Amino acid sequence: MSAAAFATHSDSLADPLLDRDLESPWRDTARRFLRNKLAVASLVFLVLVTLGAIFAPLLTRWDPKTSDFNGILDPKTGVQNYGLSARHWLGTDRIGRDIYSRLLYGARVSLSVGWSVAIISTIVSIIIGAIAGWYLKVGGAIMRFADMVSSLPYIVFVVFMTERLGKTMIAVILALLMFGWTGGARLFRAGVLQAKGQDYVEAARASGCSTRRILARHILPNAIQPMIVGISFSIGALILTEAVFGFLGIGIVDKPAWGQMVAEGRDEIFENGHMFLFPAMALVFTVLAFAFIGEGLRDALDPKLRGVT
Amino acid sequence: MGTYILRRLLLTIVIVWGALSLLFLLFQGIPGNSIESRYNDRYLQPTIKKNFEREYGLDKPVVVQYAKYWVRFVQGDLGRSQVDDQPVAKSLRKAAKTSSRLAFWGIMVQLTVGLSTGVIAAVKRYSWFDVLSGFLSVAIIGVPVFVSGILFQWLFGVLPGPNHWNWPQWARFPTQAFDKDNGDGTWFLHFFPTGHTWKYLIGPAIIIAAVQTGAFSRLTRTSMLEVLRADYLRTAAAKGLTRRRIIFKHAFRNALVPVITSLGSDIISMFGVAVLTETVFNLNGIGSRVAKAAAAQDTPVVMGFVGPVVVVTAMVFLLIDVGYAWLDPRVRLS
Repeated sequence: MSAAAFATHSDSLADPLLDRDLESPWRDTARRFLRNKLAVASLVFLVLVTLGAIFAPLLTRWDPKTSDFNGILDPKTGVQNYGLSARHWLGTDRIGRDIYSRLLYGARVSLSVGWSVAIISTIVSIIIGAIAGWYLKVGGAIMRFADMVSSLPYIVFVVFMTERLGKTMIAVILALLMFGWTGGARLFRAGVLQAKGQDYVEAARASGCSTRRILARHILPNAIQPMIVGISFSIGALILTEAVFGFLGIGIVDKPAWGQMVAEGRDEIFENGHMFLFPAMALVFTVLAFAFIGEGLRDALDPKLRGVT
Repeated sequence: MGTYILRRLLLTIVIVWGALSLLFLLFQGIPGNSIESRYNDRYLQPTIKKNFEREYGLDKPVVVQYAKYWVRFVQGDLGRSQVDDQPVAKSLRKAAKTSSRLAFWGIMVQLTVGLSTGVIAAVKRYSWFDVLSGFLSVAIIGVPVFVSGILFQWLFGVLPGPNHWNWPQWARFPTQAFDKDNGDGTWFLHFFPTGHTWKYLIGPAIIIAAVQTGAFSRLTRTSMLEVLRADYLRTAAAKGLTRRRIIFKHAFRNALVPVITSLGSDIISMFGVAVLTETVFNLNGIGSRVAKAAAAQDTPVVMGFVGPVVVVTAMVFLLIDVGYAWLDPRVRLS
């Protein structure tokens, strides 16, 4: 082995050790996440989409629900121009509503549904999973109930909710929560079951900790990591599911939403491809961004890779 | 082993009963019924509504309806649709034909594409092929079926329109459904289309397989990489076997075991994706029928379709569990 090769070898060995001494775990995680270019690009994209959703009224002068039929009428030929123009940057849909503006407002729906369902169902499934993992008798019954819920097609929950509450965002959120908790609860229960056998739980119990304290202070921090990574993946999946409802026409109808726009654009795909293309792209890129961030987070949080440059 | 199977079987029955009861309760909780959702109150005469409710037994107390449902379900009678009055069992048989063909060809695509790309990616690790297939398998997850399916139709579909592509004849695929006497052929051994029917089938099969194929390819790659590291492969190489023989005879066969196990749940989840594929390609399969019936509050069709599907799904999971227990005694003792 040449001297040069040896030198680089020892350098790469020394660095991580140094890093491990100096860096807090969070900084180490952040650094490793920032090294993943795809994840960072996804994060930037999502920040832009979120800002666009929040400041939608400032970013467009068109109302997403009113049609500008006269505005897109060509005075000479008397034909509507649905395509891209200076007036409507991404064109309009078949009834003259501005697509750029509908995309921005649609991002509000997608992001609110994704984030709220992901966070609420994670909290719910942590509580249910903790109970099911700690009290085995009740846990068995809860898990059988989870099996029952997850063996039904999700469409029936959506129809149930939308028929009761109308085809609104809150109905779709509740429907997604009705069956969304099962996977997370199963995952967290497995984590609790695994942790229960560990010595540190035994030690905590021996020193007189209450059950609630053991679950909250000792088991939760150890079993929560897969749940955090799961949030990022599940937001993307939830946005997709909401879009599926929109596409099938059983989801939100009182607000512009991406899935519904894709369904509308489908009929026009040959004549006015932009009506399909832009909502489809918005959907695909957003879902992908969450998936890539999830991958980046998983790698960055993995303790096995800690300190590795 | 016998007690384990019995215990699991009882559990399966409980889950099927619970799931269908939950479904029944959900539909009881929806205000109104299918005739009210179809007609405006102003036009729906009270006598017609009354007759309709008597015809389908909706005027009886919920408990009686519930009991009747189970008596009929056990006897194999699924009732009649409240929308078109057709026997549910008949339309279920028809839809199951379509769905099973779709699922079969979806799995075939997944197997051929997933296995071959996974093995190549593992053998040529870190090559451009590996990187590309790795990226694609993540990226495909973000593309919903209703986007990829419509893009497929837009690209290869034979549609009238001002700017359709001038593909050669062999690269044109009709977008009509394969289950509606389109195509000229019949089916050989249920699954195999004759004549030109395959042209109608190829799009739905590729699209329904797309999402799962990505994950399947990665799984094959991981499994293959693990096997390639094993000692017995080094032995095989030391014995002087050719690389081809090592990869196909020794590594591939052993890498298949975990891959095949995952196939069971893949077949099940294929029915979940099927709603969209069937909707995009206008197929009358189980998924799209349930979606339509649920939106129309056609309770007998929803219950009649979901019931058998839940039973079959539970049986598949039961078989998988029993298989695991048979292979691994630790499972059945815990």
